Amino acid sequence: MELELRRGVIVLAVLSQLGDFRYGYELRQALAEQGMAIEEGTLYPLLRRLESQGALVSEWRTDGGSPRRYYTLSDDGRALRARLAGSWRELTATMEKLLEGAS
Amino acid sequence: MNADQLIDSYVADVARRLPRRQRADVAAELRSILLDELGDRTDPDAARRVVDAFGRPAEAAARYRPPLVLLDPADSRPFLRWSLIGLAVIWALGAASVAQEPGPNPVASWWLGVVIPSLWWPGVLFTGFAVGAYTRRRWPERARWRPRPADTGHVNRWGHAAAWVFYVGGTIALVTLPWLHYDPAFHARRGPWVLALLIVHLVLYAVVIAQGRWNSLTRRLDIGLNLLVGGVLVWAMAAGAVFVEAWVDDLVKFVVIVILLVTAFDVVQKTRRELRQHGLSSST
Repeated sequence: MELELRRGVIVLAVLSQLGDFRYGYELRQALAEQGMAIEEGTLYPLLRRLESQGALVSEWRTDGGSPRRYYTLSDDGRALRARLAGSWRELTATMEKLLEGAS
Repeated sequence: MNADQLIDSYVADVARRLPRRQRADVAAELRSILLDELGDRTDPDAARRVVDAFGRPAEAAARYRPPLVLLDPADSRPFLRWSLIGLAVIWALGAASVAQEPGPNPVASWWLGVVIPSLWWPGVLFTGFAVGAYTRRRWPERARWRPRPADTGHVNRWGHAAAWVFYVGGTIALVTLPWLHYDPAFHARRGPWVLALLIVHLVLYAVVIAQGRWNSLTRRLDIGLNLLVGGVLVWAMAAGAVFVEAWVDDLVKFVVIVILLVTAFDVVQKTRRELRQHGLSSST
């Protein structure tokens, strides 16, 4: 149940952290440090799918080390993030009310 | 195998499952991700744990592609049910056929001649369900649920009368056509029973057409007569030849088996409907 609950917010969690360019492992660490651990097998293909849908753009960078693919939000991705964030806030407000009534 | 070799092998296994245009790009990224996940560790066991976290190469590759669903989850149970029912019927008919002419090893004959070839059935079913799923996705408007028309029992008199005339003509032809050479034993013992039941069934349909609708009694008589005709036909075919010429006999028996299967399905549907109606009327 908790897994299904988390699955619904993974996209928004990822979009929320890609205001600036980040590579996959760095993003996963950042999300985990903030309490949103995402399995590697889920996160990395999700980045590719979001890119193919036009929500992210990517480029290869070396930055002095081994080459890595860096991702950030596209203009469409920013609009998507704003829309999903609005939906999320409405949903949490609704859920708060429902849960208050239940307790 | 050291950590680098293990990762390279895993990446190669994932990449070869991807479309050619995607391979190099995904492989390069996956390798960099796995090395990031591995960090400073260099032992093969650590590399093994890293690739295990990504799952089997086939699973990892599947995540990089749009999901492909051939059989809708909602269709899985009907697919399984009809596969098993169909296989059970084919295997039972095959077993009866082998039992009629047992060779030196009837089990092997049944296995190789009936069971293995019967796998065409789930294959055909799967294709049907897959085409149905594709059609629903491609034209969702056509796949919208629609309520069934209310069953008032009303019959289309002209349509049913035409079918009735056709069946009466067919029955008369079966009895009078001079070039149909019935087996003498069938003609003397089994044939009259088959003919009598066909006539009773035609009388029942004539009554329904005259009334213009089915009622509870005629529906139940129809189900009972169908079962009786089915049983008598099975007996008539199993007891020996129906026609003198072997090829005509085989052809007619095959056609009758198909008709029996269709009738059995029809009887099940009609019985379920009657039970449902009975349940509704007794609960109100």
